[in-house]
Amino acid sequence: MKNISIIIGTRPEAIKMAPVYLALKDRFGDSVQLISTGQHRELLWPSPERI
Amino acid sequence: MRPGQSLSKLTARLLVKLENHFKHHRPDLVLAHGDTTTCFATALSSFYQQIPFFHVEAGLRSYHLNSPFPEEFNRQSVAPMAHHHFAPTELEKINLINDGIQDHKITVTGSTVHDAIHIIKTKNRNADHIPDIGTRPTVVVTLHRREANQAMQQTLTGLKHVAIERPDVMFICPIHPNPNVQNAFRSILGGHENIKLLDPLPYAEFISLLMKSNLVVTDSGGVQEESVYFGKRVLLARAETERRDGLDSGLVQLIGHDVEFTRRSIKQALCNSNFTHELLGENGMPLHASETIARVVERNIV
Repeated sequence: MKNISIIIGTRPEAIKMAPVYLALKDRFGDSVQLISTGQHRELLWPSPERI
Repeated sequence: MRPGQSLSKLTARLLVKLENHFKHHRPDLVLAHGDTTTCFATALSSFYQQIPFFHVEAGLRSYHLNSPFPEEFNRQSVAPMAHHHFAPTELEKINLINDGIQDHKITVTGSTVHDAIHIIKTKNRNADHIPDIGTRPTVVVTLHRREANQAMQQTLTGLKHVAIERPDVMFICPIHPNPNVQNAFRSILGGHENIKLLDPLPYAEFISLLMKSNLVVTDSGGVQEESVYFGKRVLLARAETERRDGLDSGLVQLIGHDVEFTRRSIKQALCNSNFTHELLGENGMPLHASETIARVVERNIV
């Protein structure tokens, strides 16, 4: 299985990469990982399913 | 953001973290978005580990290395490290080609923010996430840029003058948590009946607020993009922008940071708009950016 990592660090990235994460997860399942670097910690973050 | 987080410390910390992650999980392909320090560090770390890096929202350029800072540098330096570039429009593709990127490494996708908004509007339809903004015409205000402290105060002062002259209009300001930004908003705009100062909103609520608003004043490229999607008039409190969204159609106007020009521009926009804009955005915007990206990834990973 091929591994794919999506790296995000700020809220705008979380929002704009959420649909990409969902589209890749449809194709590749659990081999897709969404990773936050913690660049910004203070803003409210959505989970990709709820955005 | 950690207190006193400098760009050097942040970049160093992210590079080490990312290297650990890449060594441990050994991804076959890495994606990151846009122009943040996270994106820059991801591209660099992927390059060091020789893992193909795919760049989402590639090709935006102001061609002024210091503005926006450090984002313009991040974008420009990410490009040569990327295996594939996902450009929102043909314009960004041309920027990349002018930078020497080969045509077959670029895919024009549309913006993934449109996909995100679409998901919010369909999946979360029943959730009650519409902030109470009353019945007055509404101006949404968001300012956050780190290179613009003095400029932000001038924009806020111009805004305050309009709020005093137009008590029939409500100004809603979700404030970025940065303490400097918080202080500027509270000291300049505090104590006015028709100015609502709010903590940052969850994204779905912010989108609902944008949809219900009549005018947007912002220095954020992301908010510019989202507002244009909904056909909202945007006054962009910046000297320049690397995003073309709405500029050509006249929905977006650059107003800089001058106090008096800000006051006049907002007043004029309130008079002219008559608050009846066509919803330009929802029609005709490509909606499948994420699917396009996933297809390209699929092609490249087998």
